[in-house]
Amino acid sequence: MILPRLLLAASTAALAAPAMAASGQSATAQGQAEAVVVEPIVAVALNDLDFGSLTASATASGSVTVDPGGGASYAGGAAPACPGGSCAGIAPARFAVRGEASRSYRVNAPAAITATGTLIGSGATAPDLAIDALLVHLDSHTGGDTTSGKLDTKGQDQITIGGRLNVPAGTSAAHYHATLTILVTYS
Amino acid sequence: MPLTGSAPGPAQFTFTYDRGNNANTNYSLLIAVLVPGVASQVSGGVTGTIARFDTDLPGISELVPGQTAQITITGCQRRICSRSFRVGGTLQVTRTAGGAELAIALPIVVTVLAEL
Repeated sequence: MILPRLLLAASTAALAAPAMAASGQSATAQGQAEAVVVEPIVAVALNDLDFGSLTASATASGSVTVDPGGGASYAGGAAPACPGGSCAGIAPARFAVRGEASRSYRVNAPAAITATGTLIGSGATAPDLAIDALLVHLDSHTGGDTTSGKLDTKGQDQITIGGRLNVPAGTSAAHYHATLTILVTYS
Repeated sequence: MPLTGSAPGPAQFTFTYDRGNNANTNYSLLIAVLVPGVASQVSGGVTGTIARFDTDLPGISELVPGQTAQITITGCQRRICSRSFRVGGTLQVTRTAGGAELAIALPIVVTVLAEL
C-alpha cells in the first residue's frame, strides 16, 4: 500500500529544501521575503546663493552672474557696490547631500526663480527681479555642471548652484531675496 | 519610495498531494494553511516586519500569523493533485540609522485535513 503524501515547495529565490511529509500529511516550505532598505537621501542648505551688493544703472539694464565655482561677473548696467566686488559677499548656494554610500542620485532644481524685494527707506514692495541660468554643480561630478551625481563612500556629496540676477535699468535700492528649492532623489 | 532594482512580487508556493493510488475518481482536499508567526528581521538600525500576509488561495484574503486558515482544494482528478498559490505581504520598516538588506524567512505550513 502506498500512503498519501504531501509536498510543499516554495518557488522564490534563495530557498531551503522543501520538506515532505510521508505520513503526517503536513509539509512546510521555507520561503524568503527580501527587501533592500536604503538610507534616505537628504540635502541640507549650507550657504545661500548671494549676489552681493550691486549698483544698477539708471539707463542700462544689466546682470550679475554667480558661477557655481564662486566667481562673479557683471554685465551691462550692473556693477559691484565696492570696487572689485570685495565687499559684495558673493557666493553660490551650497548644499550638503547625505545618503547611502556610493549610490547615484539626481538633483532637480528650477531653471529660474523670482526675487522679491523691499525698497530701502520706504519699506514698500520693489519690482520683482528675475534670476535665471541657474547652474548646478556637484562635487562628485568633476566634468562640469550636471544634475546627476554619486555619493562617495561615506554617503556624502556637495551641491553648488550659481545663477544670473537680471537688473533692469533704474532699479531702485532694495533688499531682495528668493527661495531656491531643490529636490534630491536616488536614481 | 521604490528605487531601481528587482521588481516587487509575491512568493509562490506549490502544494503537491500524492493520493497514493490511481483510482479514477475525482476528489477534493481540505487543507489548513498556517504562517507560524510574525516574520521579522533586525539588521543594524533597520527593522523589517511582515505582520500581514495576503494570498490568492480561494476563499482566503489574509493569512494571520499563528492562525490556521482552511480551504478546500477541489477538482483533483489524478493521483497527483497540485496547486500553486502566492503569498504577498505588507513589509513594515522602521529605521533609526543607515540602510539594510533584509531577508526574512517566510515559512508556510500546509496540512491535509481530509481527502473528500
